[in-house]
Amino acid sequence: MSMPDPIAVFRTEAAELFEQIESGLLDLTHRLNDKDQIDAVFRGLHTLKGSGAMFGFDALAAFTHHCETAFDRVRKGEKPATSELIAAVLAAQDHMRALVDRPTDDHGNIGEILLAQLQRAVEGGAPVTAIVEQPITLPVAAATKGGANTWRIRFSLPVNSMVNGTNPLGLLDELRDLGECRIAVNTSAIPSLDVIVPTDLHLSWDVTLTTDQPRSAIDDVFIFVLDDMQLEVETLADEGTAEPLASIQPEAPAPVATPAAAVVAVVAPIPVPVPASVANEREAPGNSDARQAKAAENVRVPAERLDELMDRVGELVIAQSRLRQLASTSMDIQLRSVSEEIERLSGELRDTMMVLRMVPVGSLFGRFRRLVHDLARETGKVIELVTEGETTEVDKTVIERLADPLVHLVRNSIDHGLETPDERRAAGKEEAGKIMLSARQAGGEVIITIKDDGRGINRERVRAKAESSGLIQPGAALSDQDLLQLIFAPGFSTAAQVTNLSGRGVGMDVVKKTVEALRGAIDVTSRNGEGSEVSLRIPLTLAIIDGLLVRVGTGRYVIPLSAVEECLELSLEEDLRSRGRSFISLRDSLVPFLRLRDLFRTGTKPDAHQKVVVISTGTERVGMVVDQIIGDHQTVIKSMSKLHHDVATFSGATILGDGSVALILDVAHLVAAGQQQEAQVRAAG
Amino acid sequence: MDAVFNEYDLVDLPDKLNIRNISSIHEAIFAKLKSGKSILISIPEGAEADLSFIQLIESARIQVKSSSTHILMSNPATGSVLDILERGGFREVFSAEDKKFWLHQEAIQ
Repeated sequence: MSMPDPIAVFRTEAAELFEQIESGLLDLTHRLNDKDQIDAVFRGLHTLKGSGAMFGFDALAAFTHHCETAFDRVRKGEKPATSELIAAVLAAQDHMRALVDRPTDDHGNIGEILLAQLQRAVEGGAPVTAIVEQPITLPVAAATKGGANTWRIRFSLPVNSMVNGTNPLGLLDELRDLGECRIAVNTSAIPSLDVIVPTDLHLSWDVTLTTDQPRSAIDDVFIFVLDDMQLEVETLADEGTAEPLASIQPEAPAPVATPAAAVVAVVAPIPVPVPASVANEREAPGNSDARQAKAAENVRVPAERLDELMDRVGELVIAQSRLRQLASTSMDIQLRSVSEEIERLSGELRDTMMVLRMVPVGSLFGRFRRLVHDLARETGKVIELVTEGETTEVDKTVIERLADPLVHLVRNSIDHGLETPDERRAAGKEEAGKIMLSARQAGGEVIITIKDDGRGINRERVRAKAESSGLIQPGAALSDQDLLQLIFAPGFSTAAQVTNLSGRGVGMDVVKKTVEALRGAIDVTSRNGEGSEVSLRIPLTLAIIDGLLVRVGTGRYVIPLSAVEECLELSLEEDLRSRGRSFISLRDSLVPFLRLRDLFRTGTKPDAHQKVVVISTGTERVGMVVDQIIGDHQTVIKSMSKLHHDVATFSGATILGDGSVALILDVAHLVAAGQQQEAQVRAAG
Repeated sequence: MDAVFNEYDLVDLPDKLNIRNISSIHEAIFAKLKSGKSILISIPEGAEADLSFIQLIESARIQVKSSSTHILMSNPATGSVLDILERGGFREVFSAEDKKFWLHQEAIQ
């Protein structure tokens, strides 16, 4: 049986903890007294420390301990949460990441420097007992007033607790510290050796505790795991005759308790025998089963396995295409029937696979909160980050490759676009500059927009810089879009001062290359004094698409079906009549068209009944004249070789059922070419 | 005693018996039991164990109950293994059979 590598599992869990901690810290910057966030950050740090120690990341555990201690003081109200403290912990978290990724490396004295910074941030603040809410203390039975009270505590932890670094023995030790304890383990849920996942936890406990401590002391023992665990706590006025009063959620106000007993049931019951009166108060068994079943539905799968599966599906689609071709020339009805069945199944498999690979773009946007926070501190600018459309889903490979380009664009907007608070006030704007990151789906593309409300792109400076660096001839006539696109030229920068944010002339050209490598395109718009907007149009997937297979001359080509609006017939007469103007009238609007036979220089005569395939990207449309429309085609996208890397008209290739290769047309490029042709015709009058 | 031990395959465990290497321990024990052999678990003196190890041995005990194989400990639990049995609340619920297995204590008739 193949078991997951515990270290790899820890690294994955640590990455999630880092996200949780970072998100909490960034939320805190807006609401410094948010006790929930303070607790969340504290819990994250505590779990990270515990997991680190358990898996041998001792340096991480030792370092994290200091941050945890600092937040513990905030949590207890001894120190305030300040922006300095948050910045110090954010910086410390970067070091923690390094300690997770490269535990054996020599990290020099970075840790000491960060801890000194943390120390200064903690000691610099005044006590905040008046500001931070006191921990919620749930009312307890009157029995505690007179001295010791006896509690029955039953709990079970999530199955992944041990892997996550939670040590149940530590919880039991803490309960022992509260008073006289009788601890009984329940081993009935342990599976046999042939089915057990040895890193999972299958134990639960039944503890009887006699203590003079309040109920809140018991809650504190479980504070780090309370969200996920199953816990029942009840007072035993007279052992064995426990009588529950109510079931409430942990944060809800407790009901008024009678002197007899108080029960706080937190989430679902655990599988141990309990008095009927207690059982009556619990969640219905069906609900518990449903919750467990739901938890079991989620499986963590390494990304590379998804990639492997995608490759296999791609090969299957190609094989199915060959089968279809063979079946179409056969008279064997059964073969045709099987071919159709396999085509349907492979189509469904492909669709399922595509859904598996889709991840919300919010996972990408989340990391920009930290970037913006850091850059705001670095530049002294006040920046508000607004995100929209986080639930828009994109293929995971696209998300991964978009991360760096977006970082460049956001950095650029902050450094070049947004003004300082003084400049903004002088311009009659709000002190806080706004960066908006948004995503939306349009057909087979996702459009990601980075918009700022800064000073806008200075066209005179762009032109001057382009002329001085020889990118354009002095006085060259350029459309506004062409002028703005110059910012993506290699080595281009208008920043007067080179900062570590931007201004080195590297980055924007890399952004364009990366986006184009994804078969995407970039549009820029800008208004002086009002801000700029950069839109990335990226295909939803890079793996398999539905295509329209067409013939031009003797060659076959694939047009992404998501871009196809309609197909029209172009008779020979109309073709001849349209010579020289290359426009068709489509429902009262002129649509430019390209003759692919001319573009590809096929040297063949046109078919008698050519077709115009109208494709679009957003609002722009163009028609493409082809000789024949063969039909739809499940297109497994293969990259072009390095030799053909610069051929802009094609975005990839695919293998057809007969083994031959068809090139996939780059829709964005062709639409742009069509629009350019239209502009030239209009300019010529 | 030798005559008894000869019927068992000895499984020499490493001195780290915790979550970090519990998967490899699981594989070692499972492979022996799967081959139809009874096993004798040998824990080095001073071995460091955690809860996952106790749980795994309990799992192995459950496994052998449905087969003709057996599992024994070469020595009574000591050190961290005994510590976990106590702290984890195992001893509190020990049956006579559990005591015999973990502590080599026979029930007094």
